[in-house]
Amino acid sequence: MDDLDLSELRDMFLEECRENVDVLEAGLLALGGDDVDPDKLNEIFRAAHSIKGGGATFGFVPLSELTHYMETLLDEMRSGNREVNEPDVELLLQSVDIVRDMLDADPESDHDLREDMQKKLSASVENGGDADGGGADAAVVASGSSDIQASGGSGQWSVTFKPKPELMTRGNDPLLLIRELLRLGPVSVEPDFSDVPGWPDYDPRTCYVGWNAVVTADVDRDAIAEIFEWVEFDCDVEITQVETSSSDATAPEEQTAPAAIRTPSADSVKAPADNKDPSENPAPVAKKRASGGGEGTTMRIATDKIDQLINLVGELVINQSMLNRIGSDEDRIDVEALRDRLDELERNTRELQDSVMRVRMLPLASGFSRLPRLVRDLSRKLEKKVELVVEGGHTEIDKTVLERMMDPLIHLVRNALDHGLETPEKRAAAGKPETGTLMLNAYHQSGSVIIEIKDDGAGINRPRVLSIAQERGVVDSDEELTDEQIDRLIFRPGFSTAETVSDVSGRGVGMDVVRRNIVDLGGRVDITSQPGQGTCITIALPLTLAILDGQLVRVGRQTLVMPLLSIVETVEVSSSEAAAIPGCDDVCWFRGEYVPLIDLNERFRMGEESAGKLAMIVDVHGKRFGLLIDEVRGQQQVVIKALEDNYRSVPGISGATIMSDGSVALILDPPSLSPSVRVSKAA
Amino acid sequence: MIQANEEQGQDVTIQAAGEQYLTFMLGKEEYALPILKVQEIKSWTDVTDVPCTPDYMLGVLNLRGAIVPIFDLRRRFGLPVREFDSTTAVIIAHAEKEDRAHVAGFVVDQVAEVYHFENANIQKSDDIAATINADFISGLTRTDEKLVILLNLDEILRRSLELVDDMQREDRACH
Repeated sequence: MDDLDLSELRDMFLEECRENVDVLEAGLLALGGDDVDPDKLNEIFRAAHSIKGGGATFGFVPLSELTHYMETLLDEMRSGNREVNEPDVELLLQSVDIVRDMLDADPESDHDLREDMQKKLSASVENGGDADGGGADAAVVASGSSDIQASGGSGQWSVTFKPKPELMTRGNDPLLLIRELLRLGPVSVEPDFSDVPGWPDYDPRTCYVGWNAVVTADVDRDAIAEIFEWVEFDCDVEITQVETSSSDATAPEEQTAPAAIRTPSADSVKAPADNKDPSENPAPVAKKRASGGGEGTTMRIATDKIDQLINLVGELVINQSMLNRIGSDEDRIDVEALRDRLDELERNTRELQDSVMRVRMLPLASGFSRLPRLVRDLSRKLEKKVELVVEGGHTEIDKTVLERMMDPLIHLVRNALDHGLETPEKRAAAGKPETGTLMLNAYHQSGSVIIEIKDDGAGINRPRVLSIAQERGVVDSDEELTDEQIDRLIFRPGFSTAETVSDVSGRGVGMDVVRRNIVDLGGRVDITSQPGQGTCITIALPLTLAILDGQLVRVGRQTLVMPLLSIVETVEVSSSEAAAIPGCDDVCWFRGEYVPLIDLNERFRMGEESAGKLAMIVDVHGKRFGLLIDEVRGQQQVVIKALEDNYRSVPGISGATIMSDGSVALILDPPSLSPSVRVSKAA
Repeated sequence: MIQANEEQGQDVTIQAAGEQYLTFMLGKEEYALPILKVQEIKSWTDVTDVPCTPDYMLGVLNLRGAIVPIFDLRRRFGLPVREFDSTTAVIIAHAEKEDRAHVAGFVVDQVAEVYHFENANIQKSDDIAATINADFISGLTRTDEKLVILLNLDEILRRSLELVDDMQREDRACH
């Protein structure tokens, strides 16, 4: 049982670490300005501190060491001993990257660059800051580059610990703190009962006792202060050094003593895991999950969303009992009341469905937060000045959609920086401010989420796009195209305008893949551009992947669901328009081209004579083909369920859904139905 | 019928190392599944055909929101097909495949009894030839003077999913 809890805790800690890493990064990026907000610095410091503390608790020694160095540097900044300067921020950002790598790979393992980074951080601490505070600390850090708590402190410390009365109501136990002290070395403790009242006034929930302890340990002040850090505001602590004869005599032990502080906590965490049956060791499971990266299996949900669900379920229960009462009246059923209740039930159900869907929704800000760093790094590499403006980060979208749209979005942002925005010199020459603006705007519009990526760069160079498109055979040289059509050429397969293949963008796959990824998510992408003014790319995404707009069709006896988005149109096939080619699919003349026809009845071997007179023309990534069906029925939003959950994937079928009568209908998968034989375009 | 026997089964649980089994009929033969694998028993209802699947895969069913495949055990075992009637039952059971629990339904002629079989009385079936695939049988035992065939549900499910692949590989028409 304990083991299980531990691995859960560990997962929670890792999750929290990732959040803290994001806080760190966002905070550091915001530090750029001239006047530094001390609150912001404190927040960054706390994030680093939490990672360090938690890391040590769980035995992730390299992780906590690195964050310790970061913390030291941050503490210098926080205490005002040194200026916040660009190289330091850069150094810290690089450390954040290493921390993130370590978290993603395996928090227990080390990172190749860690030692290096620690040296750099401590060197920075040593060089900067002013003499009294900074110098001493830097020496400490430098002397023990492999040990985070090496110190010049020694001998005996006197600790006066006086908890405030409310300490225990906050869930803290003074005895645990004293036990922590014992880990440092021999301690003699004397309780101070002077404040304990007489029995009539005694409140068992209040802490009246204080303690005076003398710790004999070769540690520095911080090591002791750290123990009381959690209860900083709930007690008065005084730590003073007791004069000792010599601090040098204990020097050789300095390296080992602090190690002893850390290892007990680390061991106590590891021990239960080791005792467990090796085949069921929770660690590998956690590792696997951690390496899964973004597509983790857990998510945090705002409490108000859950409260709303609870409310709605409460309503549902009330409604159900009312319906019960109406139904149990044996003499006469009150039709009026019944109808009211049924209306209520319908409303309830719909709201409940919406709310449940909302549980899976995350604000776009959680994805957008990766962009400032990207823009910062890229603009440096490209030597451009860019300001990123993000609006509408609170817009919510399904978790899966969010995860899968991030790659295309990042690609678009890279593109805008690489190709869209000009260098400061060019911008100045064009009479624009040197700093370009990249604007991200997100909002809801008629059941979709719209994301605009707008830059005020040079816009699309249409003559060049057109000539490249003609050169690469994307369009015929005699084709007349409108400006909008030319702009959209960049989404065509095999088109890339990058003159040099840089590692920023332009590997020749570019926008075509972006478009395809977005279309696969059931979204659309469009572009508008004004030469000299900038480019705006608009992405429209569905709110969720769990629901599909479906067209119900009948084939033989069976009702099937066709994704509405893939349907071009449905036509009646007359014998004059359809033709059979031996050894191939039948074809049909449709709007100037022959499209292959697939008889669903035959393909799915339903073994029934079909009168398939209707051809539903579908479009899969620009390829068209017809599916022969018997009847077109209604349109309906359907909830997608996977066949793989209990069975397996079936070619031609993307999933199943449950119809209003409780029966199962299969959802067709146009891409896997598309014919292998493609009839080439006629004339 | 099942309920009555369950009590009887519980009495014997205490006695010795063994397990409770649900038995059912296919023709004259009596087969058994570990009862802990069985989730529920339903009467036969129409299912939705899934294309490109072998004949023993009858289709899928909506089981309180989950899509559950239904297999015909007679066809799966190569036994002669029999019309479904009022005693035809669908046993909804869990089976493991690649460490993941699947829920699947198995159509049988009739559900019979719940027995407790002691492990010592179960004979391994290594050298018994049968019309049904020997891998599907985990053992044989005897009760009330008759033979009961113990089935290996995980293997049946695994092979039922696998065979679809085999069939589809041969069957170009489905591609």
